[in-house]
Amino acid sequence: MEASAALKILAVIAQGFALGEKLVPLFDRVKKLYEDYQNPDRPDVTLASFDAELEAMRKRSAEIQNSGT
Amino acid sequence: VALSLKGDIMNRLIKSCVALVALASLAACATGLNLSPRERVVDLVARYAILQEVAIEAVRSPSVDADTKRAIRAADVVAVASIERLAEVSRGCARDSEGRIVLEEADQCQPDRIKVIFPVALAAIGSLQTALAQEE
Repeated sequence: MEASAALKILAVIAQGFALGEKLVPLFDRVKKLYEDYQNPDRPDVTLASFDAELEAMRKRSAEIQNSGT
Repeated sequence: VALSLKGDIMNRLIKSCVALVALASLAACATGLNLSPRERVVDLVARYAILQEVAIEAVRSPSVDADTKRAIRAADVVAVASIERLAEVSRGCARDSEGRIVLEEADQCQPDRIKVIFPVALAAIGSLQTALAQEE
């Protein structure tokens, strides 16, 4: 195998790990939400955190619309 | 060879992530939790974030074709718009001090509108899932 081909494959593997690193905290976030929801003493979702989630969604959407164009 | 292998790996990676999200969604539905509309939107956005991260990687990837990227972008626009609309009519539906869900009609709490918009938002998210799973 050529060195450049090996490098490209390594780059893809690195890309996969980078995506994994981004996804693991998000899966943890969903898991934490469910733990909170099952806790009878938990406070309701505050408007501040509600708006923060929406803002983060808008930022990710802007990235989808503007990346790779 | 390296490029086709790269495309294949990327494709498998994206599909396995989509499958994971689908499983996570199913598991979430199976729990049957009693959530307030506001909590339900936060939950939806948290799960949608996972799909969005996969979508960001897909639109950046040179091995994903232009048509698929267009489909991903279009699906995200629709999903975000419907979630925004859902947020507008549910941000006022919270719990009272004793943890009971309050569903009184108000400016920012419209239970009837929520019932209509929620399935639309889920369908739009499903479209993004489908776009991400498209063959190269």
